[in-house]
Amino acid sequence: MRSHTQKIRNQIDAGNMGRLADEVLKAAVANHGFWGDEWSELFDTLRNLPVEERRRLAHALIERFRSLGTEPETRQKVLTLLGIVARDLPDDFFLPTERLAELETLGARHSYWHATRLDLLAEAELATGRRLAPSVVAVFRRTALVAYRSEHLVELVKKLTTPVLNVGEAWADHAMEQLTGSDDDPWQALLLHALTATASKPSAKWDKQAQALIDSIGADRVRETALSWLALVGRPRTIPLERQTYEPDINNAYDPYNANALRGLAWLLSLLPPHPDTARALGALVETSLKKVAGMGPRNPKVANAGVIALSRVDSEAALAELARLATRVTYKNTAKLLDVALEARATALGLSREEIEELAVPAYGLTEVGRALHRLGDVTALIEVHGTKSVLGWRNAAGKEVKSVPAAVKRDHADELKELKAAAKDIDKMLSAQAERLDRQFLARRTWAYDAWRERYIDHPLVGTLARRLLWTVDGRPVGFADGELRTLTDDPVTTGSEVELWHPVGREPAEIVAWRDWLERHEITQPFKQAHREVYLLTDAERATGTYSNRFAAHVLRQHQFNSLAAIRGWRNKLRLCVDDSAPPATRELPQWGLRAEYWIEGDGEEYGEDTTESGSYLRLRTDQVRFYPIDAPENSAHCYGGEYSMWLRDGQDPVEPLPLTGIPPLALSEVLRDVDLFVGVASVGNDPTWQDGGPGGRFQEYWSGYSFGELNQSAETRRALLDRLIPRLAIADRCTLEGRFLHVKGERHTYKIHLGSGNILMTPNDQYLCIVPKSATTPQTGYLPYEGDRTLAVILSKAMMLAKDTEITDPTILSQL
Amino acid sequence: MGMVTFVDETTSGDRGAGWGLEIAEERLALRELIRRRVFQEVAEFNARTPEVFQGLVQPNDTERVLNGYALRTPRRIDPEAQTELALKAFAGNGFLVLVGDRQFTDLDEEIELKLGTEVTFLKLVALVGG
Repeated sequence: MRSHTQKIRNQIDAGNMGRLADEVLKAAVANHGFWGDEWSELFDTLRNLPVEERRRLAHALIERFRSLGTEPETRQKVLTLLGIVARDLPDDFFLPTERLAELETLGARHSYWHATRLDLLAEAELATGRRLAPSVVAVFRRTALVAYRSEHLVELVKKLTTPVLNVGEAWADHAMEQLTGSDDDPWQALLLHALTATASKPSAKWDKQAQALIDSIGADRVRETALSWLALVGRPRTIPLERQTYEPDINNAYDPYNANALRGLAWLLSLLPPHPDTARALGALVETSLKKVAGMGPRNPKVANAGVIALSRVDSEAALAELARLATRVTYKNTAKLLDVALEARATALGLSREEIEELAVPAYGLTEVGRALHRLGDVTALIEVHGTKSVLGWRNAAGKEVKSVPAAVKRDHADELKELKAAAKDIDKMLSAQAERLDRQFLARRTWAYDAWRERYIDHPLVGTLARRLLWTVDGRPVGFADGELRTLTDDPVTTGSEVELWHPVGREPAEIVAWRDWLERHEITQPFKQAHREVYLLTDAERATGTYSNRFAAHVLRQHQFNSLAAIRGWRNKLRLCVDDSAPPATRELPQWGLRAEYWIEGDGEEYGEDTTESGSYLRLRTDQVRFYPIDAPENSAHCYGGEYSMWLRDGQDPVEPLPLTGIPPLALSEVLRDVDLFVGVASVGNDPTWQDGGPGGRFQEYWSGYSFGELNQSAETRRALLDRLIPRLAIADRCTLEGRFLHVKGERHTYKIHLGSGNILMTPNDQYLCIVPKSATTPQTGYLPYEGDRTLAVILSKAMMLAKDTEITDPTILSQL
Repeated sequence: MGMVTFVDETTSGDRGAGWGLEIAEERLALRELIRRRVFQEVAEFNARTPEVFQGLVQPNDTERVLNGYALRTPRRIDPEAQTELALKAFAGNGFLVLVGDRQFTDLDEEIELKLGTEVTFLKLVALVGG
């Protein structure tokens, strides 16, 4: 560049404009669209040339432009240079048609690299007194927000005052339809004020101005109008953008300029008198803004956070309920933290614990008894009932007869109440699934409740009660369920008082008791909201006692990374998406603060072919799994290189390394629940589930893994296996001990009956579904007398296990015996 | 005197192409049936000594490859030693033997070999506790 600069300066000094045009263009071609700092100085020099020289230079540039043909890059560069030298010259010096065409092309983009200085084209266009097209304005605004150190862009964008918002998003287009276009339009003032919401929290000054705007329009009108806008957030863009190579999925992202207005609107809503619709809309905004977009991650955490801030500023039951609901749903760390803080603050203000506030925050949504509510609308009765995790809205006409559809009289005379009822039914559905998830996580929370408070918040709570009454609890150590209007023991004796209540868990219970409760639930026709009596129990195996500080039970699987990542988040694990780059990452971890433990699942990226083993943005498609370990919760973090390799502890300020904890010392409940999570990850995210991988995936590398593994619902390969077994078993000596039932081959032994899963070959033992760990001998030890496997190895494993377990009194292997 | 068909059934539902073996006796103990099979496949191997041995059980000092066992050094295989290995494998649930539609589990049990009897060898996997 330096030599170019010198040559350009020489020509300027010589006053030779033709040669100068050549040199400038040469230098411009050499800069690959990066007009760096040296150019700023050159631009100034060129700008300050006398008018006559600039006119000649402009002519020379245009001449060369015509002869250069129409390479887009060269066009852009000439147009940029003309923008510098010909700003105050008549319009025809600018190649106005070409420039307009260039800008129009730009209008289909999300943003551009600021160093290409396309702002000069816009400045030149504005200098003629014309306006930029709305879509072009939008590109410059977006670029100014994402660009790095670009004062010139900031200057330009200040001049672009119309339209108020960027066009191209459904909600923004709809909002701008409201504007009258006059300067004293209060809605315009409101949107402009919303656009100034660039901080993480509103200042007192911002609030004050917002309040004044609200007062000028009227709180109810502001709410109704703003909510109608928010309802359109996340809709497909009205003007699709052209996605460039390596660009994230911009058509599903928020426009970053309009996103600021969304934040402002969220804050603004929190200044209005509380209303259930507001809480609902803010909750929806948080969830919509955290939807993931390819190549980007969560759409717009800033907007999501603004929604949480807004909810936390509204003092209403509905807002608190939304916060509590979101706390069970949101997995994005930053927003989850904000929710945590908001709930903590609310709890502190009321003198309650964080768990209690979450319990108290669950609204009844108009339900008057557990899972039921009647509403009179004129002489029609609406009935809301909860069935499982869904609410059903039913109707009875004046004669008391049930009718299927909404009666016409209701639509005519009670439109508002009808809308509210339908919204409440939707709220109930959302809250039920959130509460079921929260209860499922209570196993590890070690909660005990005082009996009376528990009755109020769980068993007799109109909404939570529908779930709590289908679960098992212990009252003062006695297991109880809820049937025929009472808490009852296994022998159906009512339990009406008590002092301490806990959630029942099968770990440490006698198998006989577990089975008895399963029968009890069946007898009372109770379907549990999640597995409790049938919960899989994972006990320590001898192999794990032998390895001591880690479990290899779920090692050597191949998982789909993105699916694993979202599952892990849902189950309360922290995991960092691994990229195929020179970086390191901690293992997937779950912190168990109530136990002072941290569970780790060690993983590494698989493969190294970009595009084959990774997504477009370079994150691994697949992970390989390794050990499960436990550490004290405050132990320094482990990390390993993303490509794989040893995990090691990152020690700061002379910290000593902390050893993993012996598995024998981990409380059985914590161990069981952690391993259950890991089993779920493997069971769901394993590439073994993908029937299209029959060829072994990329390069056939996973052939053996794939064929040796499938889980969950029986896929085609397992169905085939089933058919084969159906044909084979009658011919076997152990035929009378085997039955095929559903997804399992049941084998009756002397000690237990064993259920061998037809997908994975894993074994559960009756009566309590305890996992029995038997694995094929590793291929590294020589196996005299065994054929290499062609065909379905899993079937061989299943058959081999069946043969062994049918004669379980003859087993000699101590590592198996100890588990029976 | 009869022709007995040996089929190696894999668990993918494929059945190897059966191959015939002439058996002079009408009844034979299972132990002997296995021995005859092993002798036959070893004899065929030794006649050609290819690099890969495809047989019921893995000979010593060989490596498993996709379609059999590769010999580390080209050599002849000893049928007696190979039979020992096969019987040991059978005792340890290395493979099942089905004659017609019935599984035989006792090495000393006499099997009736009618004309066209089909003998199926089904291979299993070694297991350990985990």
